[in-house]
Amino acid sequence: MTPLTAMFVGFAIIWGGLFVYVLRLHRLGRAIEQRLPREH
Amino acid sequence: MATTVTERPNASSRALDRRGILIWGGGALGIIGMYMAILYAPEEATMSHAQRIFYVHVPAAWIGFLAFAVVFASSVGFLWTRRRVFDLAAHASTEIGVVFTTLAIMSGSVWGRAAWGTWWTWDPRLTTTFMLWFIYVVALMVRAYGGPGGQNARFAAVLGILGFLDIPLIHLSVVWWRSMHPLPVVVRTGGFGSGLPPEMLYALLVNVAAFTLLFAALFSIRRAQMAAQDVLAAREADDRRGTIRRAQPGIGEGSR
Repeated sequence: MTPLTAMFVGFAIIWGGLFVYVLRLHRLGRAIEQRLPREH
Repeated sequence: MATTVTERPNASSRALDRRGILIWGGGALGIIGMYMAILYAPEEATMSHAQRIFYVHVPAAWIGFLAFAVVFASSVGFLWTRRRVFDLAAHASTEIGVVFTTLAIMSGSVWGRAAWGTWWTWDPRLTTTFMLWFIYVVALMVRAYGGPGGQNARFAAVLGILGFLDIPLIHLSVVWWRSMHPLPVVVRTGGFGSGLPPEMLYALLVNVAAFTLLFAALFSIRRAQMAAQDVLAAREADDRRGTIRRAQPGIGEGSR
């Protein structure tokens, strides 16, 4: 593995991890907010 | 007052859309930032490709500082007004700041291994950054073990203010003391970004913008989740009180 490929793999892990983490939190938040009562 | 559980309020729906835009916008900018960091920015003369860690390390550190600035402002607001909305903002931003500072420390450690031959050293910049991370981890522990509101929120707010005072110290540590850490190349007296070639500066700024969008999304999501947890906890408490009243009708009526 060349240093540039290693750098690409590292970046992909960090960015992919962060993105999946935020997206999962977003979906979890949406599920929680749908359980909330709506006041009229 | 009628309540429905299946419908979502319009304001909340708009917030969800806004969060989606922030997440997907951050993701798209992240891909562009990754391309610029690896292929667009030139190879550095002394550290070669290992220097490209800079494009994750610096944005992560800066967004950590931004998060702790939000904690500072929210903590001052909370101590001043005792409004829960400030406490929620401080709590959410503390979590995110710890995530990004952890990323900065870990990426810096990999950089240090390539540049200095060691994963960690008690250099002034590294030590003051570790202190920052530790203070906010303690603030999270105070909240986690103490539960919501009350004295724990006040303790966490004080820690949130004290921790922020470490940030100028981190920035100046490489100037004031003999440090192995490189001197600032972006925020410096010679002008913004004057220590970098333009291609490196552009690649850095795109990554900073991507991290900022993800920070905004995370902050909005976590704050809303914590507010929703408050509402659900209050509703469960109401339900429990109602159950006790039904089981013991005399309680709470003031008839005796």
